[in-house]
Parts: sequence; C-alpha cells; structure tokens
Amino acid sequence: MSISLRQLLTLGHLPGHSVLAGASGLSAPVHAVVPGTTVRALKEPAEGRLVVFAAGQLPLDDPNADLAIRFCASSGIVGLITTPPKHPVALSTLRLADKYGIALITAGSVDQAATVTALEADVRAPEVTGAHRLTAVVRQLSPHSSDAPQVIAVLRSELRLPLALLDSEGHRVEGDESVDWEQLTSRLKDVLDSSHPTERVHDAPDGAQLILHPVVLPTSQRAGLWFAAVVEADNSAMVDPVRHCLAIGAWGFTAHLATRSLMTEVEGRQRALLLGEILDNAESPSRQTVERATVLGWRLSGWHTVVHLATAGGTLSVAPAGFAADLEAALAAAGIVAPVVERPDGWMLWVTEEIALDSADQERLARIVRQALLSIESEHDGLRMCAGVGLPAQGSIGLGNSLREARKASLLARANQTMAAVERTDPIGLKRMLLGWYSYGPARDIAAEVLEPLRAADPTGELNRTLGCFLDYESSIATTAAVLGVHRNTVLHRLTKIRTLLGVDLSDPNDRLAAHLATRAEQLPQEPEPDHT
Amino acid sequence: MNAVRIGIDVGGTNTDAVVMDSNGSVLAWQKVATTPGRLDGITEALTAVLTGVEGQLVNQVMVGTTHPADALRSPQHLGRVGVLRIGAPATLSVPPFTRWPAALVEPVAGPVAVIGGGHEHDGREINPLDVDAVREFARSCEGAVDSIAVIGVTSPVNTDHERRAAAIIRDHLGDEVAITQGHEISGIGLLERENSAILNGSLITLHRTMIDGLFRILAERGLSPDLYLTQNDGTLMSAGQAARRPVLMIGSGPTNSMRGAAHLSGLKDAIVVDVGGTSTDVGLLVDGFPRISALPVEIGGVRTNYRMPDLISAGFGADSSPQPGPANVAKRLTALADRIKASRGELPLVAVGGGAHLVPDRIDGVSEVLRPESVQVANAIGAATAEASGVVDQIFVYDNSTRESCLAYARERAEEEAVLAGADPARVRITKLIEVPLTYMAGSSARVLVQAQGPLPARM
Repeated sequence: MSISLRQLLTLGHLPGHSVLAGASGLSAPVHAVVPGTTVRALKEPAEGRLVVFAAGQLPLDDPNADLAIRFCASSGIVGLITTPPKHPVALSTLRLADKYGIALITAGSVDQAATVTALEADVRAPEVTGAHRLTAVVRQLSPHSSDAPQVIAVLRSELRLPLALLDSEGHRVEGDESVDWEQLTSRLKDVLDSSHPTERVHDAPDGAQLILHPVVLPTSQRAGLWFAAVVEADNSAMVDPVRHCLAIGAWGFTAHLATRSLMTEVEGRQRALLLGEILDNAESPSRQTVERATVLGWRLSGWHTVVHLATAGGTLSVAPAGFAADLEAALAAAGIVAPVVERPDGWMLWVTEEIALDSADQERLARIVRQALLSIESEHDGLRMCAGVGLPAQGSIGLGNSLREARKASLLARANQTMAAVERTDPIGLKRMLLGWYSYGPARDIAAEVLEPLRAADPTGELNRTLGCFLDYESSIATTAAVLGVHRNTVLHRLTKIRTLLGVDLSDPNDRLAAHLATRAEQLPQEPEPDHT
Repeated sequence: MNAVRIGIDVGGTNTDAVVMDSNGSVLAWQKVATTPGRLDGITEALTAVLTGVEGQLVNQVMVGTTHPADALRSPQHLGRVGVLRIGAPATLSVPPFTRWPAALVEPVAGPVAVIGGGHEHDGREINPLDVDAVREFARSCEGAVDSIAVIGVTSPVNTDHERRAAAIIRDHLGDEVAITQGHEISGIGLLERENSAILNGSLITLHRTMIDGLFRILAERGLSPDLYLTQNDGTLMSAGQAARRPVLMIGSGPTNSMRGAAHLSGLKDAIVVDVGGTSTDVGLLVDGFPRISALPVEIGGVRTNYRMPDLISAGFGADSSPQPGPANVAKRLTALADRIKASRGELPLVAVGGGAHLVPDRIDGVSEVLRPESVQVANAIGAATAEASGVVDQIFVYDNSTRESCLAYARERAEEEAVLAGADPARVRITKLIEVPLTYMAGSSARVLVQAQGPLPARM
C-alpha cells in the first residue's frame, strides 16, 4: 500500500512548492521520505524514496544537480525536494529530470527535519487511514440493520468512491448509477457466475481498477450478489483499503441475509404450530392458543375465507427457504394482507371479515391470488403454483371447514394446465361432480388405462400435456402452442399423433369428454388425497 | 524489437550516420556531404537512416563533430572572452594571450584582469582572493563579452578561488554569460589551462547553438533520445555537460574512426588508415584505443595540454585529383605505417573511411589489410559504440591526508564525472589510474590521473 508523490504533495505539508521538472515521476509511489546529505549518497539503492535536502545542500543550478538526477535514476529515488536555486536551472538539467522522471521539487523554506517527519507520516498514512476506515465500517454495520442500501451507504460514506451491489450477471441491484456496471463487467460473466468465487481485482478503463467481492450464502457455491467498487488510477493507494472494506461489508451483508432467513424460518414454524393447534381444537381452543393468535393479529371469530396454495407438483421441496415470506410479500403487493402459513401439503392463507364474502368478493380474492402467484412464478424459474379458494365459514371451526373446501378446489386447480391456476369452490355445482369423479379410484384407473398408449409412446408426458391443454383451451391450437411454448405446427403434429395413438375423434362430443376427463384425472397425484374431515 | 542508437559523425567533407542495435550490429548507414551550417547535412543523413526504423526505438544519439576545430580556422564565429587570472603578482610577466596567433586574439580577446589570489602547490593560499578586483572585472565585462574564463594558479589542487570568483561574476552578470573555470577543463600548467579555458569560452555560444539545433532536428522527427557528443579521447559526454565544455570535443573525428575500426575489425592492436575525402590519417590502435601523442597539442596555433591521438596525415584522399595510382598509394602507406609503428614487426592494418577502397591489399610491413563491412562510416560507428567517461587530473598532497584516501577520492570523483557524462552509475569502472610522484616539490605529493568509464544506461 503506498501513496503517490502527487497525492503526497497535495496534502499541504510543502506550501508554495513547485515542480520544476520530472512531472512524469509524480505518479510514482513513495515508500519512504528521507533527509538528504550529499549528492554522492544518492548513489545507494533507494527504491521509491523521496529525498529532502536542507536549504542550499543541493543547488539545482549547479552542474552537480545533473549528477544527482543520474544517481536517482539508477538508485530508484522518485524525487528530490530542495530550496529554489539562486539562478535559473540549466535546460539540460530539466531535460534530464524529465527524461528519467525524477521530480525536482522546490519549496521556499524547507525545514528538513520537520518536512521529512510530516511527509513520512503521510507516506505511512495510507495504512493508518486504511485501518481507520475499516474500523469505521465495522462499527457501523450490524447484522440486524445491514440490508443492501445500508451497507452500500456505509461503505460509500467511508470510501467515497463508486460502489454498487451487482447480481451475478453484472446488473446493478443497489448503489451508484453513475457507473455503467454492466459495461465494466461485460467481460467478467464467467467470473461473476463462477463456482466458489473469490475476491477479484480487475483492470478498468483509464487505469482504474474494478474490485469485486462475492456474497455467497450457505448451501450455494456461487455468488448471487457481488459488491463492486471502482478505484481511479490516481487513487491506487485505496485499492487495499477498499478490498478490506468490501470484504467486511460483504460479511455483514451475508450475516444480515442469514439472520433474516433464520428469523423467517422460526416465525413460520411457530405460525404453523399455532394454526395446527387452532385447527385441531377448533371446538374449544385453549386460552393460550387464543392469546397467541391474538398476538399474531389472527381473529378466530368472524367469517373466514381460506385460500390453499400448492405447487403444481404437490411437493414443497421445490420451494426455496423462506418461501412463505415471499408468498406473503407477493400477496401483499397484489392487494391482500394476510398471514401465509406453511402446511404439510402447501401454504394456507385466510381473510377474516365480519360478514361472509359474497361471490363477487370471492371472485376478486381469486383474481388477486392468481396475480400474486403469477408474479411468484415469474420470479422463480420453473416453479408452477396453483391455489384453491374455499367457501366462507364462521368461527374457528369454520376456518377448518373453509380450508377443506380450499384444498379440494386446489386439487381441481392442479388438474388445470394453465399457469397459476386458481379454482374456487362452487357451492352447488358442477365442480363437485367432477371432484367426486376424481376422488373415485376406479375411475382414475380407467383414465390411466385410456391414456396408456400416449404414455407408452412418450414417457415424458408431453403428449398428455398437449392433449390436456388443447382441450382446456377450447381446442384452440394457437393458445395451446402459446401456453406450452411451442410452435403451432408442433401442436398440430402432436394432435395427429394423439389421434392415431388413442384412436379417438376429438370432434365427437363423447370422445372429447372422455379424453378430457382422462387427462384431468391423469394430472392429479396417483394417491387419492387424504380426507381431513 | 530492441532499442537502437544512432551514431553521427560530422567530418570536413562528409557527414555519416549509422543505426546500430544493442548488439552492436549495423542496421543502416548513410554518407552525405557536409553542409556549411552542419545541421542540414545532419538532417539529411538522419532522415535517410531513419527510414525503416521506428522512431520510438531510438533511445540514444551520439554525435561526433568537427565544428569547434573548424570554427578556430575561421575565427569570425568565435565568441569574445573576458579573462580573469587569479595569480597576481606572481604571474604578471606572462600575460594572457601570450603567443596566440593574432588572427585569434583579435576576435576572442575581451577584458583581461590579473588579480590577487591563487594557491601554492600544497593547496595553501598564496594571497587571499581579491574580491573587489573580481567585482571590478565583472563590471568591465558587462555587455562586452560572450563568455568568461576564470583561471586560478594551481586550481587543480585547490579550486576554491576559481569557484568563489565565478560565483561573484555570476551574481553580477547573471546566467547569460557562460563562465569557464580552469579546473573544469584542464589539468596542470597555468598557461595551457588558461588557453584551454579561453578557447572553451570562445566556442561555447557556437557549441550551444549546435546542440540546440541537434535537439531541434531530433524533436522535429518525434525523437527524444539521450544526446551525447564524443570527446577527443573517443568517449562520450552527455549533451548537457558537453554544452559547457566544447573544447573537449575539438578533435574527436580521427578518434572515432579508430574506435570504429577497432569495433568493426575486432582488433585491439592495429594500424588504422582513415582515407577521407581529401586527406588520409594514419594512427595506431593500442589496446582498442588510439595511441596518444606525447607532444603538447596546439589547437589552432594555441598551445594547450590536451592529449590527442597521435596521427600522421597525408594529403591524398578519395576525391583527390588526380587520383593516386595503387602503386603510389602502397608506397606512401608503407612509409606512413613504418612511421606510426612503435616497434619492429608486422601489424594488421584496418582501412576505413570513404576512400578505404584505395588501400591496396598488400602493403610492406603490414601483416594483412582488413576492410570490414561498413568501414565507410567507421567514425559514426565509433561514436555509436563509445562509452561515457570522466577524468580527474589533479595534484594531491599526501602530507595532508593519506595516499589511500586521496586515491579513493580521485576514483570517486572520476566515477562521478563519468556518471555526469552519462555512464550508468551501476556499471561505471576505473579504466586508467596514473600516479606520478612530484619529487621536485617539498613534501610528498603526486599528480593523479584517473579515468572512469561506463556504458550508457540500458533503459530509456
């Protein structure tokens, strides 16, 4: 870690100084400042030293100045400080200093000892300042309040240079907008997405340096996020302090993320237990149960409308940690503020009102839930969600009843091929009929038998899905193609194949209905749903 | 690609330029006619050799030039010199400019003063420096001179009076007037030292113009190399130092030729015949350097104590008319070779210069005749392959301190002079140490001559 001669001079310990020649040497790093004695002594190797001469010790208008410069060039001395000469300095001396980049600096009254002491302190200063910065960063960061904006703000206030939090593709997540981070990291895609990432320092345009520090959360081997900072060329002494500060920042930020994840997990677990207790003792919940529910803001009286959420595959393991919180946030963004509680087969949320929601309200609720699920699906690649909305029911017993309805409705939704399918329980109707049919084991066996040729021809289930989708979307080839993300000719080709394999005529109403029922039953899990009633 | 250097030799007839790489191989060379102003010829030669050479790679340019010697032959270009001799009353019987050719005295002689001061041979003051007289002298020089020569009695032993007087004059006249101090230029012998200092002073303005012109020519071509001039002894001096001491460059042409011949032939001991345009010089290489003349050297009719190459000149050359026949040349060279040889026996002969082809293959008294490649520009090659050097020629009184410390001091001073001349401080070495005890003086004292020499810095 070192300070350049130019930086050293700007610190003001040499008032009224002027650089007579050798300005190209100003960017050289200074490792030490020493008092000068004789010209001859400059011969000794002294890489990166700045030599301060007492008044009159090194007259630059003397031919010996040339000797001093030549010795400096060979010994690695970066500059000479002396008093201004009586006579103008010879052109050849200036030329020589320029040639070798030895800065000739004069200042009105050089108190040799004082100047050496002051400058030497500044030369050591980068290390000291670096340590001060690090301490300040450590003091200001805490695992409870170190989210991205705060960490960036702390680092920026201490380091005073462009800083940002980037994702693994180099996009800015938080931080300075003045820098084109994507441009800077355009060649570093491999680095940003590498396995077991480490801190990196890369060259940026104009001699600047780009410093990257990864944020790696446990269980992952790649950095989801990177702290990035740009150190300009003339500020190169800052590289090490910046590296250390970014490391501390990344550490604090990682701790913050881990803490938040842990707290969400614990809270979710407590909520799930409490809900279990309420559902199990719906007739007469204990005082403690009621109290704990009250603490969480749950009302047990009133009309509850439960929504049951599940992944389309029916398993929870595909959902990332803290997923309930994500769901809650997505729902809140869509317009429902309601607790989301993890259940063995999905997640449940409910809204409580003084009076029962009417059909239009339920419809609206279903729409909002779908919207939230769509946004969740778009955030999590490859995740498919579905939901069922139960009928409103009163009191703590009603909570369980509404949940049951909701779970049945979500079963229907899961059979649907659309994205983020949401089904409502139809109190009177047709859907119950279907549900009865779905729940009837032998009927499902028949369905499986009917579709067996398709599965045999295509074990991936692609043909099954195509048929189901085609029938769900009122035999529209264009929509089917859009939903499945394939070309319409592919859909046409598949349908021809399906017709041949199944030997059905999809324009015949009976064949159509049978095939539709079969595909619907096929989408359901193999084991009938356990009945909670 | 490696850095290259350019050697330029400006002779009376031809200006030669050569581009060499760091291994000493010739990459390109050119010979053009010398122009009256010198610089046009240099420009032409430089332009020719630079085609096909990347300008950025040129890191050193060495120039050997005869213009100081030429200037003495046509004295109207010389500068006027004020002469301050510090030595009254002892030296009054032989005033400055004694025995100078009248043609030189007329343009060169400015105000002359012989004032009180000077040192004994053991370094003690004879008389204190007459400071008022120095001021008086400075006043008399105001507006009347181009430069000033300050010569103290026995200044090689003690430089104090010369330095003090020079400082007073400088304070008075400023930096426009260059001051030559005797001890910077020459060794013992007051009159010789004084003559050298005056000659140096008269050449300074001319010489500076020349060096500035060289820098300008290089800058116009986008080059910013280190510039060196060759000294009389065939070593280099950086342009910055050379600008102050033109007299040290006065006779570098023949030396460069002989050094170039040594480099090209790889021989250390040989007879060198430099056939120029109108004259032929014959000299002797001893251990890679020209043999030095034992006689005092007169420059432009002025007696100095410089040591110059021992040369015999003959009045025929490549452009002589009528052209001498081969038999004639062989006969004349046989005689010249016999004269230059220091002992019996045969030595190889290296023929260099633009007329090297005139030298026959067989000469009596010569073991073989060598005409290496690129001999036409041997002098430029000599300049390009030279090293920088520094010399200390001083009398030490061993009674005042030990002989060892005096010699160590002389060595160190010589090394510093070599570094000042441009040598790499890390590779400078002592190449010559001559110690002559001065038995005719009271006490134990000796004249010590130390030469240090070193290659130019490799970087930049």
